[in-house]
Amino acid sequence: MFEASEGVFGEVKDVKRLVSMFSLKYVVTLVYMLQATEYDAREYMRWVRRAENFRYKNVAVRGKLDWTRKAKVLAGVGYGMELFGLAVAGVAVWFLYGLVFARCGMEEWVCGEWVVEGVAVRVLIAVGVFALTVWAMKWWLAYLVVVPVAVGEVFVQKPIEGRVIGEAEGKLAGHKGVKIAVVGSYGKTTTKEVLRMVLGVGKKVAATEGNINQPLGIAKFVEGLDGDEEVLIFEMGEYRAGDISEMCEWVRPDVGFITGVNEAHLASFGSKDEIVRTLFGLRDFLGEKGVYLNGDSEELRQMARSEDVLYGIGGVDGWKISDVEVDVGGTEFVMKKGKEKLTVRTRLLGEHSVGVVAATVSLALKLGLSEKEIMEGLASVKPFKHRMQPRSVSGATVIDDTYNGNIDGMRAGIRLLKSLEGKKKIYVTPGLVECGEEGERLHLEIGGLLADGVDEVVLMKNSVTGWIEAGLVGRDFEGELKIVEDPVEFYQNLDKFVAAGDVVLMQNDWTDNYA
Amino acid sequence: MSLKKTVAVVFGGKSPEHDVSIVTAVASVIKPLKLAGFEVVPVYVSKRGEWYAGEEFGEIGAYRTGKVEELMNGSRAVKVEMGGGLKLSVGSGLRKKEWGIDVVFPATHGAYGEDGSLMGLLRMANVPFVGCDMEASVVAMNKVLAKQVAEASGILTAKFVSFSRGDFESGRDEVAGRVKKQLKFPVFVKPAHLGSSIGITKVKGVAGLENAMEVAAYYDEVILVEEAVENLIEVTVPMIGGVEPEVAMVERPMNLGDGEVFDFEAKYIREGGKKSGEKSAQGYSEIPAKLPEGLYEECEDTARDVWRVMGLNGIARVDLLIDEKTKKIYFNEVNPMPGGLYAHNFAKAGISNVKLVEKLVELAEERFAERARVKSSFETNYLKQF
Repeated sequence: MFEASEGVFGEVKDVKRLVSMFSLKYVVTLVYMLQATEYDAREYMRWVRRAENFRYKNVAVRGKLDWTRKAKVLAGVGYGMELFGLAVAGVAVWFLYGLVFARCGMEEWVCGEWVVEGVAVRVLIAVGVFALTVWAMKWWLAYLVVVPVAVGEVFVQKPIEGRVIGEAEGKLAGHKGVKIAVVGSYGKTTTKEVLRMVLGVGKKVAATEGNINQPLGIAKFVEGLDGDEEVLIFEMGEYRAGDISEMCEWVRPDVGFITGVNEAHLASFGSKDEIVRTLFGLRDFLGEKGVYLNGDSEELRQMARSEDVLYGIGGVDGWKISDVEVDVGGTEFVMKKGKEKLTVRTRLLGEHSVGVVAATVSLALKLGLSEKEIMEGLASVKPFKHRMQPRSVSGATVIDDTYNGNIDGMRAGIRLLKSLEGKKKIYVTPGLVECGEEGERLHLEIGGLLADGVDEVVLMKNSVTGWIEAGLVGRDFEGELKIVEDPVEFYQNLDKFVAAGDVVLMQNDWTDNYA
Repeated sequence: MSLKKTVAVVFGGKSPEHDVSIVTAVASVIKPLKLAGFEVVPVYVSKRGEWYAGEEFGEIGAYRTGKVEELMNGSRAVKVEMGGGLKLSVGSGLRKKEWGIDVVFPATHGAYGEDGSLMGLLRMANVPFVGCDMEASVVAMNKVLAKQVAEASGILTAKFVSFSRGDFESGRDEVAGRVKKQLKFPVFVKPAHLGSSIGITKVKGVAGLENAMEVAAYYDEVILVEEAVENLIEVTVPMIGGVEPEVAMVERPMNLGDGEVFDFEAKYIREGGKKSGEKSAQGYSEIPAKLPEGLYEECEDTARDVWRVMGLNGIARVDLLIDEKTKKIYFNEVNPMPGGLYAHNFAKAGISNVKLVEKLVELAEERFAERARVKSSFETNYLKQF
């Protein structure tokens, strides 16, 4: 009985999906998703297979299509393909009539056992054939639209990239500045920003902006350099096997940071080992110079060699760390090395910020910055957008860490929430995306971590919700559990969910392709 | 079929506070109820007293742009079925929409709603409803009755006289004479039933008395004249609960300068006009009120006493007047459905807007279940003997 009804629901879903493909903005939806997945064909296709609804307003919930030139071209090609589909369908019907129906009289047409009688039935068949052909075309279109993306990449983007990178390589070869490369599955942007702010007080520093971390973006950044910078900071993103090594070949960094490793982009790499190999391409390039490795990560600690510098809550480069204190205003700690003692305070939240701040201080001293300059730089470091960023909502402190997307960040976040003072401690998350087979174990763990010391857990409903819930139940969670169907609505009305004195931590947000 | 509870929110109504009620309902009740996961049926009562229901009546835009007139023309009035719980429906045939109501949330202010009449109807319909019950609402919304109940229970209240509109119209001098004889100026002249401070005038001497009474008589059949409390600190105390209340924060609306009455305009309009965003009295308030030693707790206690003697339930806001010199606390009035639920105050006290409405619905169900235990039938042979 249960199975039967499930089957019926399955069909209803399929019908909905099919109907949504006939919406006028179908092509726009596809282009939006290509853009949302950063034109990653594999990720895009996974979405196509999974999508239950192709209506633009149901898909583009968190953002909307940015009409870049590329998007316009793709939409043009897409609508062209749609017209072509209609034409093909028209021709199919025309053939049907011309070749098949016309051969027999109006009254009756016999083909084997089939008897087709009357005009009405023929029209029905013709309409059916037309609709089926259009539908098939629409279905292919969802996949075919990646062809112009690939073609564009090979014939337009690659040659341009090659030329721009070539120029950048030439410019960098003659550049006197210290080149710092930052790589890692998480923590790149924060590390880059802390370096930029602190080193920027005593030196002329330039760093890649925002989330720019791919070859073309980096090359364009180099194009805009004045040439007299003393420090250059490059964030490098890993998107496919070996790409970090390729970037190192032309950027030629002097100093390297590996900030963390996890399963992000696992699907594009095939295995975690491959991700590790790719990230460590930076160390391979630096050779005897070694790299700064995030020592808070057990995995990275294991991989350290003697020439590498581990940084973390335990210290960095001979500096011992003690007296760590965290509140909603920031984090404070003491660094000691021999007779030297520094009290460091930043507005960054959480113990996991200690390591990167300490490493930056240590590097700054090596680069010749004075203690005063370093302190001035540290004072200007403030939380970054959507990364452990506190704000006040109706008298509650809301910490926005929605850009987080990894288990280490969640562990650190939950620890932070428990350590903070608050009338009520509320934790908000949809869970983690892309954990592969690890999904169940990791989400059970998250549920378990939340089971004590947190008053309210708010989950955005999706495929992992049940696991977190089970984790909570397994550890006898006595607080309140709220499951939210519409995350956007929840975020927009946060002021109605919280009260004065509450502390709220929001971690991770699922982008539209995972929704 | 949905497992969600359906809550009907009734608002608007034939009351001068019709517009305030719309804002309370849409912003502080309907939205948070939806966020809490309830199925919400907005029930709008027009200024003429007709009832309408449907999703579209729960959007503030409809009232701001006047689109509501169009909506009313296009929809049929609500049909109410009261056999075994409350059912609401609109339209007929294929276009009929029907809702079985689990809980009613009255969000009306003033006459034909907050004053107990709606609660009477809901009791007859045998459906749980949020907020004060009928008796408490009747007492609370009649300032004269409320003061009499407070006085009889030993709660201090400013000295007052009251009279009907008929008395006033047939013998103005006689009424004015009574006021002069029994009260000390300055006095406040108020319509007995209205909330949101509509029709209230402060009178400093005999000269303005008649005029002020005329204003009050324009709005009400019963007129209250009471002595002004000297060295005044005005505070208001929102509470939530069942038989025993939980006090939120004692709030002090700040002095407005020339206008010594915290009137309708000051409460709801001025702030909205001056600054962007803030619409209620919040901007003019001190939360928690900074009061001389010990008075804060005393205010809480007095407010709790008022809650008990008047049989308040669910939510209410008790207004108190303090003479700063004598440290005496006077009961002023009680508001069984505070504008905007006073959500800003509850939020300061640690109860979010969503939690507030969830709690109120829960309290409504508890009271309903409690009442169901009361035996309501009694076997007699009276009819047989007839």
